[in-house]
Amino acid sequence: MNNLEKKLSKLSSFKIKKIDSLNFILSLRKRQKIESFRKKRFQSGIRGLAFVTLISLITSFQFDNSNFQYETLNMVSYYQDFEDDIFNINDIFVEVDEIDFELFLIDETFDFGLSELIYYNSFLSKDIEG
Amino acid sequence: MHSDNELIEKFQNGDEKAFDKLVQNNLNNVFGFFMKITRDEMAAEDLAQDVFMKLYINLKNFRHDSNFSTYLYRINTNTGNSWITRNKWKNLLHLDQAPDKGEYDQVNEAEWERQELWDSISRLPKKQRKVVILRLTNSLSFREISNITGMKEGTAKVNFHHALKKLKEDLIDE
Repeated sequence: MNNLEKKLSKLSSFKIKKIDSLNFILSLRKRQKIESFRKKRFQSGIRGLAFVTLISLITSFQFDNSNFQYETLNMVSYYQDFEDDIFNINDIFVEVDEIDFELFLIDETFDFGLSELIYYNSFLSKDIEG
Repeated sequence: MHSDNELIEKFQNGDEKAFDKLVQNNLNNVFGFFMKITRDEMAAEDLAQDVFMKLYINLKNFRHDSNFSTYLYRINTNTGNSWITRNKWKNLLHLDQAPDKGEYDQVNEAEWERQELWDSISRLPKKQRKVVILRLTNSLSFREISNITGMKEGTAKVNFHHALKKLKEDLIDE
């Protein structure tokens, strides 16, 4: 041990009076109780927070409008299909004679049955041939 | 009279009074250790309570791999080390409130020197600080210090040597 070390040790050493162990233990027990209460409070706080978060998540899932959007998208898709099928029929080439014939039928209030409409071509061809 | 190891076993088996006995057996050592560092009874008592709180929580997992005294020294050193670090920043933040040195010279020169010493110790690197604390406060051998800190005996000696050199420089400068 050199001089500096001796000097430093001397600076750090002094007579220490004894501490009252009973009071110390009492205050230690009190502190333990406080710490344990704090720990329990913290744990219950965390549990409460987890519960609130869970409820919030469940609630927010219930308020989610993803289904409604899905239906809207379906409707748009449905109308789009409808438009494609129905309105594009105008683009199909139609013989002028057939239109004239249809107009004639309307004018004459000719009452067609379904089968006649379906088999119109064959009736017509038979009439022509016959 | 039960030994510390017997008391630990009893405490581990659920005997709370054994812990109180263990506190009684070791209180003066722990309190003395912190009094040497802090020179403040209140602070020393608070730190001693911190140590026994840590002990109460961790003692149930104590496996007797090392001596109880070594284990306790380890907790003491770490707690003391944290206090010194904390206090270093506290002192830095309250520099304007530090008493004038001339005033101290008249009142108590030794106290001023002691405060300077611990201020310098607080500026040491952590490893060096641990060795210095154990060597100065408890006059432990380097072998004991190596057991407590987990560093090799040679490393402890080298750390102490470097620490002394820095302390000497610091104290001469001031």
